[in-house]
Amino acid sequence: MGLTTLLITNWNGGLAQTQPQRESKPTIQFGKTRISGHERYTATVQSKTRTYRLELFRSKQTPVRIEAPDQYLVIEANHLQAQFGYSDQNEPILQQVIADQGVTVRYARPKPFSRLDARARQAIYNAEQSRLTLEGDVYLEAEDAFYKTVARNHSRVVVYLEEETQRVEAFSSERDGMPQGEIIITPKEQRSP
Amino acid sequence: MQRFGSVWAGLYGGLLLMLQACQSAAPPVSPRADEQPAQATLPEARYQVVQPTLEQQDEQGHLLWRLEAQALQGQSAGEQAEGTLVQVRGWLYRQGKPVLQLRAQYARAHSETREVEAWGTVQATSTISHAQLQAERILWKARDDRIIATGSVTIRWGDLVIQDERLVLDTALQRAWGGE
Repeated sequence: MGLTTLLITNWNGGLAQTQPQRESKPTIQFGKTRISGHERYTATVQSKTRTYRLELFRSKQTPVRIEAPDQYLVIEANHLQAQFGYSDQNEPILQQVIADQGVTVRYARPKPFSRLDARARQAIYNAEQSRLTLEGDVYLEAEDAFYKTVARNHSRVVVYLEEETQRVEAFSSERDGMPQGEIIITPKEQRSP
Repeated sequence: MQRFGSVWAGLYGGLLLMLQACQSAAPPVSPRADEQPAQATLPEARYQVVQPTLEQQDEQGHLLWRLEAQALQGQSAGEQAEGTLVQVRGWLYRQGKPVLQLRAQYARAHSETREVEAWGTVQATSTISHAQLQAERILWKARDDRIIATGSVTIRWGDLVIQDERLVLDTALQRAWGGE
């Protein structure tokens, strides 16, 4: 026996290694926020600031999907970076998302009513600023208690989420110096009591 | 101490293994002359050592790992000795400081490659990030500062919970890589 070598191997280790592998989809959860659809990912913890950063890439079958029901938000993308942390009330929250490639965003707040469906190349969500910034060939359908809004062909759209009525800033795409953007705002019929 | 085999020589060989683990930074010590014939003539000794403690140090004398167990079940044959620690409590170190505490049903270590493997409901807690890791099996590679966890892996960082069949982590459980 080589004196510098300690070899402690498992004489029945083969039994443990031949146990059948259970295949299950990886899941990530932070409070009520769930992430699914990912395959390759990295997670990093910053202990001092109690923040958690994740970078995720889609699987072959599905895009990465992050659902934050407390924040009325669902984002899907091929590549997603998320930061989690705690609110002033020490509640776990989704602090920030940067989503790239084939991005879809759904925001559905029951009260005050606000709904939004959008597609873009990139989306940046910032919880502290209550702001969603969509960039690159943005298409958006939105609705609040009073209006329906459809926006097409915009290079950048900023949505202010936490306000009672929807506020959207849209920056049109241009072709040969001509703006291509289109916004259609339709008032909803107000029913008399 | 309970013997499975019929010889004390095999048992002594097992104890010698542990002593080597505890003193890996020290220069090699030649075995006593009267041991060598015993090892050569009793090739398939089996033994059990009660409540062993194994540890390994690096070249600077810093602890790399320390394992305490209810028992070491082993066997030796010729120049090869093998063993499994049973009901294990262990500590993994980085730069001489304990960064991970673990419990497992079984464990084994390889001093040359500086690897520790544990299996059977492995539960580990980081003293740095306070993360909690659970897996069916982990392989710690001290040289790479990496843990490969497999089989129903769960890592908990406070409210953040990641579940996967395989995860690679740093020893302090501050970072995890999935899908690799």
